Amino acid sequence: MDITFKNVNYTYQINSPLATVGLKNINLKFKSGTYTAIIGQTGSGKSTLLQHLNALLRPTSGEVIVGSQVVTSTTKNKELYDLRGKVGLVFQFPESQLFEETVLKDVAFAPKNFGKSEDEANRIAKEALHLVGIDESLINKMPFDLSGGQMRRVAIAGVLAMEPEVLVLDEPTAGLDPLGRQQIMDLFLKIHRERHLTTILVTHQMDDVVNYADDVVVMEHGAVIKFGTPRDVFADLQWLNQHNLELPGTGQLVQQLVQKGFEFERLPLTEDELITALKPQLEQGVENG
Amino acid sequence: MDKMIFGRYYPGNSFVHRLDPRLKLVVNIMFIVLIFLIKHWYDYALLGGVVIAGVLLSGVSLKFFLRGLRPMLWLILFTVGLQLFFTSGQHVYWQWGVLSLSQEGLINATYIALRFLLIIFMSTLLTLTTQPLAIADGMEYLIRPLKVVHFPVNDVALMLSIALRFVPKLMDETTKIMNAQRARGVDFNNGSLIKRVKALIPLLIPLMMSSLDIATDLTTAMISRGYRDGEGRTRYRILKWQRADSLTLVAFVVITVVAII
Repeated sequence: MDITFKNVNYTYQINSPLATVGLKNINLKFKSGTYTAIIGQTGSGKSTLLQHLNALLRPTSGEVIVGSQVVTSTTKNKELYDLRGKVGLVFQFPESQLFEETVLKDVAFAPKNFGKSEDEANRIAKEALHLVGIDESLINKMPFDLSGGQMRRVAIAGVLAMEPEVLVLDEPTAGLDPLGRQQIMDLFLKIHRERHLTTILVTHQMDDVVNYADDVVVMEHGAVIKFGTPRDVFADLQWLNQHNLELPGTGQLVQQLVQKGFEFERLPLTEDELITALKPQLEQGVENG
Repeated sequence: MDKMIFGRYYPGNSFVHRLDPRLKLVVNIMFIVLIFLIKHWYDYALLGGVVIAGVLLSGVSLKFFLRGLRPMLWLILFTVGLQLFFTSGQHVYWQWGVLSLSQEGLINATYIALRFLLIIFMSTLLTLTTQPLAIADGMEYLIRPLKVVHFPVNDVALMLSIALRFVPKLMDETTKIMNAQRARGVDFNNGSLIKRVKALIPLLIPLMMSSLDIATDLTTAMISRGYRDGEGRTRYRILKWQRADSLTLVAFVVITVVAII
């Protein structure tokens, strides 16, 4: 499902002296089936933008077009029910949204809300739990008895069980250990490919950006300051420094290698690219003694 | 929740902002008592003058106050309506049936409306110009005499300041959980009463759980930083009584005396 932002502005507490600008004149297009990462400093408006994707916030002016649904400042809540079912939103620390008596019930909650029968919802819930790697033996436990990492997985399963067409992730791996982070990120990529989702990820991990995303949106003070592929965005070091953004881990290593006399035709971003680019140079080095 | 002005702090550095929180609390309490004591229209005019002076000196625009009034408007209209139509006056009748419009009713209704307005304005003025922590400090000071009867002043003060500190945090948490559940298809605003009450469960249970989590973490953090109990601590924030405070208090006492006479 395509998502288009047309001249979107959003102001918090509009018409009051405490009004603060959330979004400034956003024009964006998230194409169907792409994986887009949104980066920017804390308070740059990333989360505000995310909440526009399933109309939890409606633009103060301009319009957001999600699939066939146009959302403007005057769109009524009732018209948004279908849209909410199609856009799955994983919030920061989603484990705080668990509330049911059992893990299974909690995951089945969303599909039931969007009109699935009890049996159907339970079936989907079990599938989703399997997908996120929650063991069958846990599904009848209370969510609050689980560990932090397991709760996170259950909460994510609760969103995947909606079978959304668009998956929106707001720092889904914050606070997880490295292994858990890797597993969850790989899971999202797998689902993204298998179900042909449109995935939008907010992150502070530049490594995730280069490893997973097709496009990158850079935000600052509520405005989009750059939109392009990871290669475009990470090409200009001076620009990155100006906007307090850092390179991914590989990029930092590459920079040091360049200072030591290595040469790269195009900037390697991922580990694999770096290895491929480095190999011939090293072999040559050995030959020359 | 964005529209609630009542109970919110408006940053500034005006005359009213700089006044001592203890003074503002005392004046507020005196003012509320006074409102219920006075009987004549010129007393209302006098207190109205006090409120307007306060608003002007606070540097917060009057529009802002008026907007803060909006959520309370129905309550005011309801009470005023009751007074207006159900006061059985002896002097002048106007209407028929149970509903009657008497001169007493009219006067009572006006007074009720004025009382509401003045009290809301005055307490909004307090919360708009005083930081929550300063209010907590002021209260602690004012209830200190209760130590004589073994009232746990320190504990209450601590609970008060922690509660105030966590109001915005819990508000944020509420909004967050509400949004998360809305994204999972919960409808908080539509449907029958029973349906709406049921829709609150996915909000209330996570909120309780996260409050418990916060409480556990906070106590652990406090104990590990050497907190034992409220006795024998020194204080970091110290309230200072200044000349402007004395002058304001004297002025208000004079007004009170004039109003009562």
